[in-house]
Amino acid sequence: MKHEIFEKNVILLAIGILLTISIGGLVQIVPLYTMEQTIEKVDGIRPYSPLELAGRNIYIREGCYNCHSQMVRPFRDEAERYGHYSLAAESMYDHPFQWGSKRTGPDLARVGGKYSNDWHVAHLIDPRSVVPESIMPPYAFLAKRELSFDDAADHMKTLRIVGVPYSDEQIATAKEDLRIQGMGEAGGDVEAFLARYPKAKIGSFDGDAKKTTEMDALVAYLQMLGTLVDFTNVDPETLYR
Amino acid sequence: MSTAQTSSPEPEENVKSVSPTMAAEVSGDQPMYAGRPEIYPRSVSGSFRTLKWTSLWVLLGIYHVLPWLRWDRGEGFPNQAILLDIGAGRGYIFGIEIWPQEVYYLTGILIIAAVGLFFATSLFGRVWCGFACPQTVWTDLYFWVEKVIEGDRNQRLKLDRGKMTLMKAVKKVTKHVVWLLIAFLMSFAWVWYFNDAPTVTREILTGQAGGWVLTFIGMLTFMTYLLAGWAREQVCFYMCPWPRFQGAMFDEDSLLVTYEEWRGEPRAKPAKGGTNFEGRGHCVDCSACVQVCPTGIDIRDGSQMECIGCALCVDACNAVMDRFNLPRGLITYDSNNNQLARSKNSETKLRLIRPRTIGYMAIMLLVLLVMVVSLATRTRMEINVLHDRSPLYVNLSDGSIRNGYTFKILNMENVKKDYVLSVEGVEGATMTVIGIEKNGAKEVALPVEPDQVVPFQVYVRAERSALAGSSNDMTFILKDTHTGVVVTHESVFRGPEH
Amino acid sequence: MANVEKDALTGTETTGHSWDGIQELNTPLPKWWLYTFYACIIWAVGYWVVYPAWPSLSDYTKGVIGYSSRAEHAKEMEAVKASRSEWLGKFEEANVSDIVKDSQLLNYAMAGGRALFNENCAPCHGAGGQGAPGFPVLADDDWLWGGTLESIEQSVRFGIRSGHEEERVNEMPKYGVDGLITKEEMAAVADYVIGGLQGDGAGKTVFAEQCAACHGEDGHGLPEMGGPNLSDGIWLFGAGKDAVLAQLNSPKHGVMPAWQGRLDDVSIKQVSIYVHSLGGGQ
Repeated sequence: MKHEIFEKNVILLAIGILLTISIGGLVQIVPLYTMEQTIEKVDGIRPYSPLELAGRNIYIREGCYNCHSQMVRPFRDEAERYGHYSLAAESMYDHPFQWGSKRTGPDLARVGGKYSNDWHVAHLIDPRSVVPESIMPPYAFLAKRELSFDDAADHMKTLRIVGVPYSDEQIATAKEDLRIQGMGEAGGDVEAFLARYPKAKIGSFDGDAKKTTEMDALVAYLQMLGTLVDFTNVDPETLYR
Repeated sequence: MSTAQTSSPEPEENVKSVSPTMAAEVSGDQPMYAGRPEIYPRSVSGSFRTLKWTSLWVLLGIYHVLPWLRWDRGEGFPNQAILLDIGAGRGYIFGIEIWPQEVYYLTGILIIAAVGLFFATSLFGRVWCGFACPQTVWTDLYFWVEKVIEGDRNQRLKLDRGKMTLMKAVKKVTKHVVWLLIAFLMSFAWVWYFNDAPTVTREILTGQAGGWVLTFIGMLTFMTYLLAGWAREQVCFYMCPWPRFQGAMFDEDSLLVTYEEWRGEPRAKPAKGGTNFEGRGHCVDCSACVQVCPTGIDIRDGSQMECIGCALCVDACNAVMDRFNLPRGLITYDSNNNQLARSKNSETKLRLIRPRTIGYMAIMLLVLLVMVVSLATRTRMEINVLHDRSPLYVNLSDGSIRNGYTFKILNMENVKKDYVLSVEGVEGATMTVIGIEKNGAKEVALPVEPDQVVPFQVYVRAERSALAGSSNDMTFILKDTHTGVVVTHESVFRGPEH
Repeated sequence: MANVEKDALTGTETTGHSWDGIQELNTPLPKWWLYTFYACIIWAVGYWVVYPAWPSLSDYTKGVIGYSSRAEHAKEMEAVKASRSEWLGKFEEANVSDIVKDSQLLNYAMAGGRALFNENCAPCHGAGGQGAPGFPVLADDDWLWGGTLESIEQSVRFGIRSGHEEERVNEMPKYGVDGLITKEEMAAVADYVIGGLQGDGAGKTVFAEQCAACHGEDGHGLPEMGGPNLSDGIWLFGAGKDAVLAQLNSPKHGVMPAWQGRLDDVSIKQVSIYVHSLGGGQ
């Protein structure tokens, strides 16, 4: 009964536990950072535009992740309801990621482009006005609150520290990009913006072009979720893990 | 330490028999793991044995025959009386058909089963463990096979201790083959409940059965063989949670297998030819009760977790008592209160109706009532409505507004239905349904084939002036034209901001 | 281990711990538990061999059966597709107007068409055919080139100004840029159109001379020529006088690719049926 040594010595027991768990943890976690195939090589993934980033911050601020996951698993039922399964690459610029595992509401990983802006706005203002059986709380105040994101560039710089490849140009034009995406032509050079953030949706998301609200930001974020990768150009076998 | 033990009698010094599972070497340093002592139960006959046989054959019969009962449900539907068709998502129990969204009936059945178990336990002790549990039933059957092939307890002991001979090998192999066959039949029957029994039998025998069927047959054959042939009482001791907490359902009036210590002790072997039981207990210490016990315990040690309440020791002891012309019932299936009464020579009585049993019965009946009422009144039609999200609403060329809905009708009956759909809540609203109604009508007839979920694309159109705001409450009303049953669903009609 | 206490009733050793008179026994565990534990270890070793298991710093062991959850998923989706292929034959034979009469085929076409639409058409026409400025709304009852099943199928198949031989094409003259009518006439006809095609002024005259050939005498449009309806409240390139003037001056023309060749025949039929349903089914 040699393990009596462990059973009767708290310090030794703690060290033993730590050692055992560390091995399990290290073996599972460390290779994910060093293996090349952890993140799939697909085209189209880009960092969030300033407006989308603002929307994402609101998403996190309001705790949307408490009820919505952003992770379509490779199962038939999920594929038929939500679309293609999520890739690691699609959340590579998420800090922190929003995968989640709690689906009180539906998964949102591929909600982008699925519904109209109008629907999203009406739904966020009063979920029951479009889905009578919904239990989601209303977020009507988002439409009234003007977006304050003066520190957009600072956010982007911070994200750059943890590995999001924002270019100096993108950081310099953060404020302008915010305007362009929320207003279109009126805000500035749309083409240059699209070169910086390909596939970004432009326009007044909440239907009120005069000001950019938190609603605009959140809907801009929702409308781009899961839309960056064009799966018609991806050989499915390169994704097999 | 002394305070806690005032009420319970101290065990007598000399009653210190050790139960077989605990029989590992009790030296200064006992091993960390104890081996399983093989148990060789002696066969016995008597009223409880007869009851056990009856229960065994009735239960096995029900289990194996039930899936072969037929029940006509009409063209295109399975004619098996009890069928859980996982693939199609339908459960059939005679005249009742269960859809996946009605699985809560299963919850009801489980509640009734659980409370029924509590009820039976508070009345008759471990009657489930002793007579009805599948583990008991199949183990008992395996014991019987063992006895037929290898002989009774003493022969089996001799056989196992003896050297390997051809005869021994033949007996052993035969036994395991028969065991496997019984296990195979058990797994076969299991599969019958989930497939059309004749079809799946033919498929299995001709080697056409699918992977799942074979997986289940392999798994269940192996588990039955393992649990009933090898694990046996270990299942009750270490795997099953029920023995650990069923003591909570007992009270002083529950019927239990008990040894009447006041009458049996002090036990002793009878003197030669002696029939004199003066000054000693009635227990002749013949150990018949221990030898017949399928879990290998000594009931004289008192009520214990390992006792499955099969009462075979009662049969064994009664036979011995008869031989000595002593009254039966030294080991008896009776309540603690009656035992106490007998020891004081006062009257015994069977108290089946007690607050506890009334309580369990009431819960059982209540759940049963709820189940029956909900089954009898359930609607066999259901609608699901999803308002289109993109676009939220459409401006039509004449200035009116149109909303789209994905509308699903569940016809859970085995007959074709003609439903009529209408809406309420928006003034003058008309409906068009793709493939059915083109021009717009206040009522649309929707035919649905038997036992189907059919989606319809429904468009509702209303004048702008009929709308109070951007979101208007609207109700879909679906009527079964044959039965007049009406089902409604709340929805919304969206329009522009005014 | 001397002085080991034993429980009087069972003869089992105690741990020497006792709480409120209850002693903790040191009951030996059944041996088969230990064997089960060993069996699990053996199982794990077998698992390592069969399934992907051990990581190295750059790769991981793939396992002898080469299992991948995503490949498994792809296989399952393929099987679903294959199980649906029995339907495809029926689609190949029938034409669209027969398909919609069979409710089962119709439901199947709607499901397939929705998926195809979301993938191929929604980028311009929006999910559910909600449209966008310059990209026609497909969910309403206003059809530039006709809203019957057959006309929609033709539009999908050959496109609008797509360059295909059988494309649908028309062209509105550049009244302003090319100086076909005067500024005053443009303003008059614009007012006439905005005003619901009513009144008898100069606008009406210009309209009758210049516009009625394609947009119809009453302005209700001529779908066979692709002339939009100007009498309703639905405007492809924006409502209001400025938008109408801009269109008169230098008209914008939408382009839609021909899907024949991009989508197979069955897909074209399915997506046509779906688009037809979006507008309520003319």
